[in-house]
Amino acid sequence: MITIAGFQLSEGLRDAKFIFIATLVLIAFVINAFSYSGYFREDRESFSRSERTTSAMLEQNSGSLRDLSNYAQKVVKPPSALAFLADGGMRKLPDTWSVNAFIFRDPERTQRGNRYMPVIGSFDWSFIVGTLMTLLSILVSYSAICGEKQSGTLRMILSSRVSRMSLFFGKYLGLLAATVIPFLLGGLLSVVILYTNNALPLTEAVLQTLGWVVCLSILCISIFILFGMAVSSMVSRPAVALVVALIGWIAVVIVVPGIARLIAERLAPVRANFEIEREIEAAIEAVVARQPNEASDIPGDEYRDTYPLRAQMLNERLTATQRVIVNSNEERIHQAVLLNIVTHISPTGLLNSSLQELSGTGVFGYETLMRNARRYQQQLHDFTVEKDSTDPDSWHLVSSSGSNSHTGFLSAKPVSLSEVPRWNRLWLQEGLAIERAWPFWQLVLLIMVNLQMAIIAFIALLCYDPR
Amino acid sequence: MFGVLFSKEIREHLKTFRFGAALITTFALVLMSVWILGDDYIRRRDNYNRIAERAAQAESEVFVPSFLFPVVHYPPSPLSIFAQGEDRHLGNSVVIDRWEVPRGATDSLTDNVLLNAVPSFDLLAIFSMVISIFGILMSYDSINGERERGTLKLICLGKTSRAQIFLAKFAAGVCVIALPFLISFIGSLLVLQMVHGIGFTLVQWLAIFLMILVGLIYGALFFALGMLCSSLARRSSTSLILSLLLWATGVLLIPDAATNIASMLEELPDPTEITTFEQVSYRETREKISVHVISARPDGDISIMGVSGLVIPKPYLFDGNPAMYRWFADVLKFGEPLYQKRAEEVWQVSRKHEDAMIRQAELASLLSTPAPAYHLRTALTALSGTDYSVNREFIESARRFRSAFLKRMWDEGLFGKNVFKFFSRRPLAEALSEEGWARRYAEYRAREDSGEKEDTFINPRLWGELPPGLVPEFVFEGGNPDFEAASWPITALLIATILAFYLGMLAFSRYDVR
Repeated sequence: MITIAGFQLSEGLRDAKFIFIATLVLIAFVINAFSYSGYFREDRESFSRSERTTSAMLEQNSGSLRDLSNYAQKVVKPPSALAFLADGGMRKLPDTWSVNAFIFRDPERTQRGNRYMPVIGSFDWSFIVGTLMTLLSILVSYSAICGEKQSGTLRMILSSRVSRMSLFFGKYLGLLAATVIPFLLGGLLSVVILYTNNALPLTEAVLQTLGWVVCLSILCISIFILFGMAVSSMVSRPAVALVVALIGWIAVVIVVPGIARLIAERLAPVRANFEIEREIEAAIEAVVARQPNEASDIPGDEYRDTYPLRAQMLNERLTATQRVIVNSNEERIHQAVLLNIVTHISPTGLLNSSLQELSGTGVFGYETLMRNARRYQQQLHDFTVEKDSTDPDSWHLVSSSGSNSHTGFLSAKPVSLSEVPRWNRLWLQEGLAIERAWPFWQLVLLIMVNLQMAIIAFIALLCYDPR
Repeated sequence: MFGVLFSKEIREHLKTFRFGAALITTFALVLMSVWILGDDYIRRRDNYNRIAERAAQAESEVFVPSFLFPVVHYPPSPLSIFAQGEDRHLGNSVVIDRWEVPRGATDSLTDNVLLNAVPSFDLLAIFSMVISIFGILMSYDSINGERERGTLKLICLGKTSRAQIFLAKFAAGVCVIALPFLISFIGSLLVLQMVHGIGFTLVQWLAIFLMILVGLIYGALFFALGMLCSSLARRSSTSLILSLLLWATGVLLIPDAATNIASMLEELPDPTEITTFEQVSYRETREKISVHVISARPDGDISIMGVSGLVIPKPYLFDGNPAMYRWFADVLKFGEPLYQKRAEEVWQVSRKHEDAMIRQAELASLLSTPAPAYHLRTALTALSGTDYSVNREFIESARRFRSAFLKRMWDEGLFGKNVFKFFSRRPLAEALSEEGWARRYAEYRAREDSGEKEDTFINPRLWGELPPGLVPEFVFEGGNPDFEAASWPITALLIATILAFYLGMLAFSRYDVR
């Protein structure tokens, strides 16, 4: 068995096929490393820029708690150093929330980078492994059995004392090594380039993540090698094996994500934007209708008694609006997560979604961002309430008084900037400490698919007629 | 002889397993994609109609020009079913603001932005990945496979020239590729007609026809490449690997790498420059206006609300106070031009950035020129009216619209002698006469006391119509098939096909048939 594996490997390594493939994979990993270190730098700059702007604006508004709590800051997603693994379409997703002590608006997309540049695809590891490497695995394995038969060597091998079992494992290990070696080399190269470009801190958590990614990727590649071998042991001509294997590849890599979208959209429909807008309007109208006419927004001392009512109305209005916004976002996240789950039927989809989860991108990154933005808003709100309660001049009507900022709803005392909760601090404290569940189940699932494929391939080989 | 060879080749292709597989796979993929994206298009179109309706209604409810923020937009193209392109993440509507020159658009048609991260499963993706692979699978053994079987010698011994043999093989191959392609396209058009009820105009039919043609040329190119590899390599397994690597480079590697290399080569200027300029100029303008006008405020209140922002206050602030009325008119006459000038200045600063982005994108296109998939993409998105230039043109038209809109406002004298009309529909004489005001105010009070909920001052019925023709018509030619933009990539694909064919023929003429 070892002999066959060694023979297969050395034959594989000497093959022109292998050299082409290895070169292609290495080029892909180098492109990946350079482009993602560029994106990371861009994102880091954009993040610190937005932090600088926020600092300056908070400073300008720190003259009064009222202005400070009403200033809507842009809360930007911090750069993810692991986006090179699977970027989850990060250049198409909204990454900025507008947040003040009261308001939580729908997210938007920062205008960073070049919007005229076509976003063709992501050149992340998930693409390199899930699309390129799986294709290459099929290319190396489709002729493993029937190719030997066609050239007449299969009979020779089987008539010697080599059992089919050792032929199978020898072939499998040799092919696996021939594909995994370029992958490991390329991955290492990519990590080294990212590290030297200051785009990847090699902390323990990162190394652990990379370990998981390598395991998942190798399992994914192995599935396709076993698939290629299974097909190869079922047909008699390599040309047919190639076509069958390629169709399988197309089904798994191209079709499944497409269908997943269809299924997710049917199973978990979301409301259209205008419906959400209408709902917000209705919610506001309902609140306004409940209020007596006295809750006026006319400034002036003669209306002083109506202000508590007005503050209450404003707060109710905000709560109603935010409920709709948060609900609609939960709905969208639910749909996108469902889509991710549906792609689990394909090994590459599984790989892609676990890589996104590991690197905190895609819908997972969006969800984390939204939760943190909500938490940050709560912090700001609590801070406002606490500060306001210490000011005897304030009427303690904590509400987004909007255009009535000249009234005494909230304290107008200056605030020391160092006390104000800051977004980057929250992210440092809690954002990195989010429990990152290791994709244990995904690993088990991949192993099971591997076993299943191996059994199919082995049985097919047992039944194969070498003549 | 050519005819005999040709029909023999076709018959042989049709009998192969790979042809059947290609036929079924292509048909299933195309049908599924069109089904999904047809649904998606209908949802987007319905969203668009509702949004457009709401925007028109909102515009009709505006009672003074100062509240007028027209929204310009363009409908999704039905051809986007075939090539999704870029309009999803670039947006298709712009709110026209007097104080800002539009730089980008927003998209309100997509229900779930999170799904934009999923690669689109459109015909473009299917063509560029699947049709090309099938092109290669059909042709990689067309020459050396025959040699391996020993039939090539027999054919070449006959009286037919090698060029004719090669041409017959190529022509037959292209016809065979065209078959699954045409069948699935016709099937998908039927689905669109019967299931979704989407019809096309004549121009769109022409674009669809051209799309089919481009897809065919693209398939033919890969078929020719496969034949070239087949006549270069002795063994069919070598030519297969060679052609698949060509495929991976031309379809997957180059288009992606080009954008990354372009962003490394051509650096963008620091966007902080724009934001800083925006903030500084805003502050300066604010201060200028405050200094100029606050001293003139009749009641001595120096709160700058309504001055710096030029927020139009509720009319009761002026009630019974013609002096305040005049004061506010003065603020507007002084402030509005300043803000509009600032918008122009910000635009001039950001234009540099805009130009650099366009330069970078053009460099990326230049670098992707060797990739056939890039040309396919350019051609198909141009034909479906969803490419980048459409978005650029749209924003350009929005800018033109804004200038025209502002010019009309200036022509009406809304920032000059008729400034009252800008924020009020009242006759000037009434506005400035104390009795007129008093009567008005009494009416307003009476209505409010009688419990009428709606704010009578913001009730269009009391204010009459806006001056007709204040909002110019929005002219936008884009969103339709752009045949001119598609012509270059089609030509490039055609030239590449001819070149690959010629090189293949050259290699075949020297091929050792033994």
